[in-house]
Amino acid sequence: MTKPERTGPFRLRIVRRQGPESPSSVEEHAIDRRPGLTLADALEELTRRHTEAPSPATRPLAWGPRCDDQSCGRCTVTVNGAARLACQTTLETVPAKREGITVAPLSKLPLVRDLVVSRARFEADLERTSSSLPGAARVTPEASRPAADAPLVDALARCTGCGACLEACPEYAPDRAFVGPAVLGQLARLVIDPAEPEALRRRRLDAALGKGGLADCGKSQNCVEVCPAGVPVVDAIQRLARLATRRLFGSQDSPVE
Amino acid sequence: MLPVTKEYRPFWLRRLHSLTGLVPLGSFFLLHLFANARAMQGERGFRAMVLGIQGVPGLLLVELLLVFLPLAIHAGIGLSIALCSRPNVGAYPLPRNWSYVLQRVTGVVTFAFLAYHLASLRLRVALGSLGPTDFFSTLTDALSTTTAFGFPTAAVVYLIGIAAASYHLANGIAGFCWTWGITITRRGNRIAGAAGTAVGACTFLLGATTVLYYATGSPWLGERSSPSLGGERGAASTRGQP
Repeated sequence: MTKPERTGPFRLRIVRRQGPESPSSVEEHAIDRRPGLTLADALEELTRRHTEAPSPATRPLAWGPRCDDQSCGRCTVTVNGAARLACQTTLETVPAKREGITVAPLSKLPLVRDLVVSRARFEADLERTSSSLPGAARVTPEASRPAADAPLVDALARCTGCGACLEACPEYAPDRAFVGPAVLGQLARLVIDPAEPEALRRRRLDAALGKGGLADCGKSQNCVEVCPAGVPVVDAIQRLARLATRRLFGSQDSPVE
Repeated sequence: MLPVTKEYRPFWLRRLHSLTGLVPLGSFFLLHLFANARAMQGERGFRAMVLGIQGVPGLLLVELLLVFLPLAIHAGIGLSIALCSRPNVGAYPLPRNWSYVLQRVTGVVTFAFLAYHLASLRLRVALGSLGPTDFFSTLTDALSTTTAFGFPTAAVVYLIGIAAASYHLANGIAGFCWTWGITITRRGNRIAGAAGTAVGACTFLLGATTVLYYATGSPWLGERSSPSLGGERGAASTRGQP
């Protein structure tokens, strides 16, 4: 898809803001694009430059943190307008525009500073729908899972909550009720998993059908395309839809599956 | 049953939108195109088809309940979905993301076309200025003579309307399978999409062929015979030959 021969010097443009209320400014840096250099490496180099030669004009860039194995999802930014994990993005694969490569914070989550955003709403949506990221959930005993659904449940458990899908989703926006693909994926995981208590599964399914849930999905499928962890969100959403069809005609107490 | 409360309103509306789109409207679109393809048998075939439909008992009620009511529901919910969307194909130029945009654009285009289509034909029947059997001559007249700058405007408007509706149906079939959980994987939905595309290709070809017949007197882009108003099409053209 991308030509590998994108090396050499180029301009890295960083959209910086002191805080949510401050005006934004674009900082330009010359970076040598060495093969294999990731965006996280480049950002680290900038932070080093800022700290080694401190000036009143530049304060160290806030970004990350980086875990480098794509497991924390906290270095997600937009690169030329599209969501990417900084630690996963090698700069030679990014098509540089004439003005260079522009890095900005995720636009749909509230800004904290520079490239750092708050995931508070995402976490609140998880809590409100009585779901959670796998890290926070108790571990499901392997043996109690049905063999057929185990791969889907496991794949959905790979979500790190990085927010790339929220950024890419044309229906998710800060001013809208829609909880977004990541929360729907986690709801689906906990609704499908038979090791979860039945009453809780039913409550989660109803939460998925309520305001800001399943119905707001526009089927653009951008979520799966941008997910750095390969979480099958589209499969999860269709599974929820099937359970919802059953729920339409079943009673509130009837089993989820 | 899932309660019909404010909390579940978006969910019920989406399901209603999906159901009205495929079941009454999708099947009506197919029937409508098949019925109107009878025009290619000339005015006699068309008249037989029209009289057959006119013979349906309680036709107006059937039309209101199975066509106009679902159309109003589907268009009302659909327009609000389309107008509230915030496309981002600039940053994410992906095939399915384009489908997302096109589904909304073709929905609005189809709605605009139907407004024109209904106002120029069905409304005039309701007002009594046109009889259902006059559609043949009216369409032949409109599609073969309405031009602007040498461009067959009316025929092109019909082709655009039929193309938009066909795409909307094709993509809508995959959407329906997703919404109701008939497909549960991305791959499964892609297969539903291929089936939908086959249906959409059929409706477009059927519709486009009929439009071309009205506009040129020949179902394919071929020889152009002069439009004959009123009379039996095949007969009129053979009568003119020595």
